[in-house]
Amino acid sequence: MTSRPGGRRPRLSIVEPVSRWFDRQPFWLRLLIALAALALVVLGPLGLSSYWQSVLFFPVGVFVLLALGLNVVVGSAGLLDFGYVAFYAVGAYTTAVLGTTHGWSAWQALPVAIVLALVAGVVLGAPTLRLRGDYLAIVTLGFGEIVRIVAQNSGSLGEARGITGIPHPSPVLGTAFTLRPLPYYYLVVGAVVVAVVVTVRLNRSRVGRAWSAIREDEDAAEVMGVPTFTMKLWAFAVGASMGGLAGWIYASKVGFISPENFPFFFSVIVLAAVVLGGMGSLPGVMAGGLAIAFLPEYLRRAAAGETITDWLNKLTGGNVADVTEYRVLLFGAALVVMMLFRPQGLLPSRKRAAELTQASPETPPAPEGAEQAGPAQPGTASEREDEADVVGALIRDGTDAGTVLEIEELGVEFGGVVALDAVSLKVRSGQIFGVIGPNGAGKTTLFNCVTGMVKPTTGRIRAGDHDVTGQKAHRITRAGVARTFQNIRLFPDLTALENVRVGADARHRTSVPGALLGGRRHRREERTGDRESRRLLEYVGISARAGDLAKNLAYGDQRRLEIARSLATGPTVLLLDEPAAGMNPSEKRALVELIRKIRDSGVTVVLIDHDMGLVMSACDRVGVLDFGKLIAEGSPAQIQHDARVVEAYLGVPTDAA
Amino acid sequence: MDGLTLGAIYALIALGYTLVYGVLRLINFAHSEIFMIGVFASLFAVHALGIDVGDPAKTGFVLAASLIVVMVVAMLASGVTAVVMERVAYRPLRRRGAPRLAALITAVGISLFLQELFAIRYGREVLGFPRLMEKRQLFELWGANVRTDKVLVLVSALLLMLALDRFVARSRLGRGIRATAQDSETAALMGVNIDRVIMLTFLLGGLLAGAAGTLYGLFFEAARYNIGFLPGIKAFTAAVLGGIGNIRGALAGGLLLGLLENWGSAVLGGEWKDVFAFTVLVLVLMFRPTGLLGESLGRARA
Repeated sequence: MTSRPGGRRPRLSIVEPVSRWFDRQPFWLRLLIALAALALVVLGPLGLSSYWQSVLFFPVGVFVLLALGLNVVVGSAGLLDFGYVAFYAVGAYTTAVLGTTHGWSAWQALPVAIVLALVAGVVLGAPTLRLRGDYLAIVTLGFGEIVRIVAQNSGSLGEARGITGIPHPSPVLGTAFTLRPLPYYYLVVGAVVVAVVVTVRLNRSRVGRAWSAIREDEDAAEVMGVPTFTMKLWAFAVGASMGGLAGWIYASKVGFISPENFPFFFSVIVLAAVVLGGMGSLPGVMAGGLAIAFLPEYLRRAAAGETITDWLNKLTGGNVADVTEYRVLLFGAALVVMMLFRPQGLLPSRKRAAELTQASPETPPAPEGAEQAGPAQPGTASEREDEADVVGALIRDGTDAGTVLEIEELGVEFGGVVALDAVSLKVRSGQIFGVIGPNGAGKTTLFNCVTGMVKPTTGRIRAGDHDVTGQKAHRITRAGVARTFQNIRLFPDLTALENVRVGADARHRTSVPGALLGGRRHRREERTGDRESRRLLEYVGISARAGDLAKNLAYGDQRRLEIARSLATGPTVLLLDEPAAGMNPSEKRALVELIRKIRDSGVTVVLIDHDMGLVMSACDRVGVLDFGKLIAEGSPAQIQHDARVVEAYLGVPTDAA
Repeated sequence: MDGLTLGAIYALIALGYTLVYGVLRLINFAHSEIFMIGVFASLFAVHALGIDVGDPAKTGFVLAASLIVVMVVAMLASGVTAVVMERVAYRPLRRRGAPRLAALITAVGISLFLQELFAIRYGREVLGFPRLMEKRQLFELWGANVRTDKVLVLVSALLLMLALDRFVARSRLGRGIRATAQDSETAALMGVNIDRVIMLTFLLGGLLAGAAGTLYGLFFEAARYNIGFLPGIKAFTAAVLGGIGNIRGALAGGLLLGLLENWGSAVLGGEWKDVFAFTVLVLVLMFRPTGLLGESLGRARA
């Protein structure tokens, strides 16, 4: 699931303590440090020779920018893109064509270059993001090649000769952009700052949480109301536009581009920068880009470079004069070595570092033998009423709707196997509805169907007033149906609070533009989302663990967290799939209490469980599934005396089961 | 005929992707370099036999013997490389239960590393491949030019694939492969040595890629460090087209892709040939991701 070096205990991130120390300092000191860093970046290159200034622009600056862009795709959203160079190429070629054949100035071409790269990202993403991760990787690789081949074969793009005479940007603030590298260096610094700001803003918004959730567990994210496809597309688009920006800067500086500037290994070098620094870690990614671009250039000039070249020549039996010839070889090897020994990168992000260094057990502590009797329930009645409002307030449809979930003649087949056969059910508002049945009776399939994870073969499903048959899972969640999973599916490396906030975001609308501009709705949603999520953690009784990673919670707490996460989506119906599995009797009692509390808050509960005692005592109505058919429905007392139910459980001689 | 010949080579490489994917659910990106090594090993073997560019073509027994020697050398070279790669890079990742992302990044890293290693050692230029056999037109069939070397490529590729199919369907080790492909945990519980099975799949894939390398050298008479890249992607496309994880699918996919590509370049012009193959890949993945024959190594019947 997540990377975890076996046995080896990696050193702690150095980013984490430094950034923590930084946060503790008084404002004036932080400002001073920031200004000093800025001064170094701005004034430092003034003292360098023109050669090194030029190196700072390309490859160093351009690679840092590209690494930041690819990091949005790979680090934030966890999508593997082997053809990132394509977007860089689109940006560069747009600039070149507009500048040479249409007479546009570089500044006019800038927005077009970014937008076209973004469009390329969407065009590539739309058909391919539905694919599994490894297919995505190979398709992006193909796309990178296609762009290069198209450039090579199109007369209007100069074919293999490329395009020359791309105009430099016109002067800004008295600074002329000619062949001198320094102005372009500042341009690239500016672009890097923009890229960092964009990434930080997005990561701290609904979009960033959605990306994390997708990275952790895409299916669970979709069911928690994350529009996974749209969000993945946004990741591609944002990453692509940063690539386009880099392409624009490059083309307008060097004035000449050809397909040779955009080979396949370019994408892999940028990927190496991201991996080396640490996927998802901004300081890491920037350092990675810096190192990968700067080291070969440095070694090329330095005395050590010759020694290293000699040594490598001996090792490989090669005979090259320039250490940069070994660049791609070494980065290829670096990728392998990093994956083997330090997959989190050299400067990992806070979260990934925590994930890899905390002494966390593989699985949560076994529920059996856990002596503590569930988390403490908050005490006074008035407090409880207060909390009940949290859940009640989130419900969008009225609670007096009568039937909140209506299933008609629902049928599901998996390649000839009938999992559900014409099941019809009505769940009334304010009930706790139990679904029981022997193993393989189709209970979980029923839940999967209702929540959109499995498409029904026949039949209709209505949630409140909405017909949700065959809709995408996140839409069904937004229509007021939430669920938990039989085998808990939290986002293991997000904190408890972040887990709940992903759920709460199902009710939010902020997307990339809103998060970038910091619009009013975005701020309001962030505020209320945070407050509601904290209160929900309190509601289920685990507010003390808000800052802990979900995977480090005790088993029972993980169940509660999953319930809180589902409640955060503001459901009218909550489907609980074996919530009591693996709990001891006292934990079960506490759970029943929680379920009743949820019902009293106005959320209808449908629950699957094998514990007859629990089902019969907690539920108002019970439905029994057997071999995909609903064989009985009624009050617990009726069910207990139903002959067919007894038969289903105890079997009759003719029954092969 | 060109399409079929090329398709047969694609199919041989595709089997390597398919076998490894079937067992490990891993796209072994570096497989294209295993093929590249097969081409180089063939070239070295040919040189070692004292044959140089410009020498007269061989005939009869000498031809058969040298062909077999060259192919065996190439198969061994590729097979061993594949096994070493699995041991050094993939197995530790598997032990750790690393995510797919890590395996893919590793694969692309190995791929680049091997390419560059050969580029630095043997230069970045195209190396000529001596002509082993006379390329004589046998006859014309429906306008297709049936040539000796093409027949040889096609026939030997088909024979190798038939051998693999029999091996996986009939032998004890083949049963192990199929069991692991279906459910590796249960297979392990039933006494199948998973590590051995995985090594075997890499070995088989490597052997076939090596043979493909020899045939490629014979047909195109060239070797270059990045020669594996395009055939690799196309073979992967072929594997997906036929249904990845499906041995006969790889054969069908390879031949079909070879024909499609040939047709595509006739219609659109040769320079778009490679774009055409990628487009086929994207279309297949979008509309029929399980391929023409469905994806399953486990269910490959005898």
